Amino acid sequence: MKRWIKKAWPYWAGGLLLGGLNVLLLALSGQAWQVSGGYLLWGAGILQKLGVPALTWDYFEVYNTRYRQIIADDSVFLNQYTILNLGVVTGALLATLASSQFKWKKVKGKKQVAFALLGGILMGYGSRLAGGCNIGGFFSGLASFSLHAWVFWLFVAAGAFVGTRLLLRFLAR
Amino acid sequence: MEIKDLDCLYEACPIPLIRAIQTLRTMQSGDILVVHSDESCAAVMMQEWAQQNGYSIRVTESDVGEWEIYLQKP
Amino acid sequence: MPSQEIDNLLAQRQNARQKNKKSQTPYAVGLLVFLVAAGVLLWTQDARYPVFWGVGIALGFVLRSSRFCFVAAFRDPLLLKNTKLMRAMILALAVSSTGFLLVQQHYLALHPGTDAAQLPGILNPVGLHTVIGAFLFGIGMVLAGGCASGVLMRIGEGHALPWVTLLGFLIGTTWGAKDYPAWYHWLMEKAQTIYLPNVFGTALAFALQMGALAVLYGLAAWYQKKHSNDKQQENAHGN
Repeated sequence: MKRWIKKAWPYWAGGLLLGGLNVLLLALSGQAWQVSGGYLLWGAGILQKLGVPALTWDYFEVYNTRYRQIIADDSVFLNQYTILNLGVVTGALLATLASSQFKWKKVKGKKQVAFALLGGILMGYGSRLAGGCNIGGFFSGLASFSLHAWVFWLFVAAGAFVGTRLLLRFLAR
Repeated sequence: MEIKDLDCLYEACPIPLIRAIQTLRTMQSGDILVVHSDESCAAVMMQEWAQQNGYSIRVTESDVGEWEIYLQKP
Repeated sequence: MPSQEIDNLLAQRQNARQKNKKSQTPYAVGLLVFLVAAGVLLWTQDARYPVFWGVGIALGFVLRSSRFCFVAAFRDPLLLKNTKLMRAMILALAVSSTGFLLVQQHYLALHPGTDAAQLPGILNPVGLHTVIGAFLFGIGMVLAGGCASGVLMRIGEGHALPWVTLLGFLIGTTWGAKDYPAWYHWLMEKAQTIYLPNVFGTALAFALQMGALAVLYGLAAWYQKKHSNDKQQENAHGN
């Protein structure tokens, strides 16, 4: 019955590997897998280029000094977070090409775009508050035995519940 | 036995599956629904759903990056 | 469950279709060569970079190959009463928790007395801000159909829509950074970072976390089974 799903690995295998890779990353680099930190730097860097002095906001100067070195080195666009994120993109690309399933998939309709944009904004804003996204804040956070990640789990699930309701109401015909 | 095609190309996960389920509800036992999707996860998700709900299913790659998912209502 | 009608229809359509799907494996090989070269180039910039590059590529490869989607892990139990991804995610958490703890303990052995927030891993202060942030994130990821990592994966697959999500993410995250001081003074000033081994001791914290994961795994499995109309399973159990 499972013919023709070219090379889709079972979920549990993916889970084990993702967990293992995160450990490998931590052991080799001292840093856990995270995604939204990279996005933050890109966003702030772009704003800076557009004339908005985002990199001098209190967020970077006062509250989250972990990015200070990167900002000082002027490597907002080329840093370990960017490399990690680009790695994920190219890894996925590699897997897609290897299974000959790469297709340029264009956008279909304004509604899709609106939801994607809104969803992205909510995720972005939420990730700043919680101190990370589903990867950094939750996936790596829980593995780090930080209580915040358990709280994240509970409430991201609650948010997903609300989001699913909204999705069914507005997006599915 | 009716055969219905559902074009879900360019739609984002989980829309293809939601639409498939909604369409299947309107069909009779024995009818076949063919879902066209270019979401790589759609095939796996529908596989899971079919198994969980007792539907027959076959998936095939119809083109590069496109799948046809055949579902038969029990 | 086999169906002769489906097989017939499928065979019919496949014969009618031109079977000349191009193989993209040559591109994959080319890309791989490029990736290795890029890795070497990165190494000349900073010796740590190739680690992030290599692991990132592996993560992306695994995500895509297993169709692993965190959004689906949270959404499918609600939408489809299916918890398979959630359970796979729990497995991932079990593996990484064990590994992370070992790395942390090793670090502590070398640097005794380190503050929890400085340990390897991601340890954030917990409070109402976590609640609100996670809640917003949960809504957003389901509406967008992808999370932070899902966006990266789908861009790698050639989809255009995740770029829009990414744009939204950039907007949201910088907006959040801009508003941060206000949130900080309202909710975060007194928030603590709570490292569970500091609260329960290392062994107990590990046992409790793994225990909690095991319980959640069991609940998830039970939940799906309960809402399962799986004829195969029924037959297998000797009906």
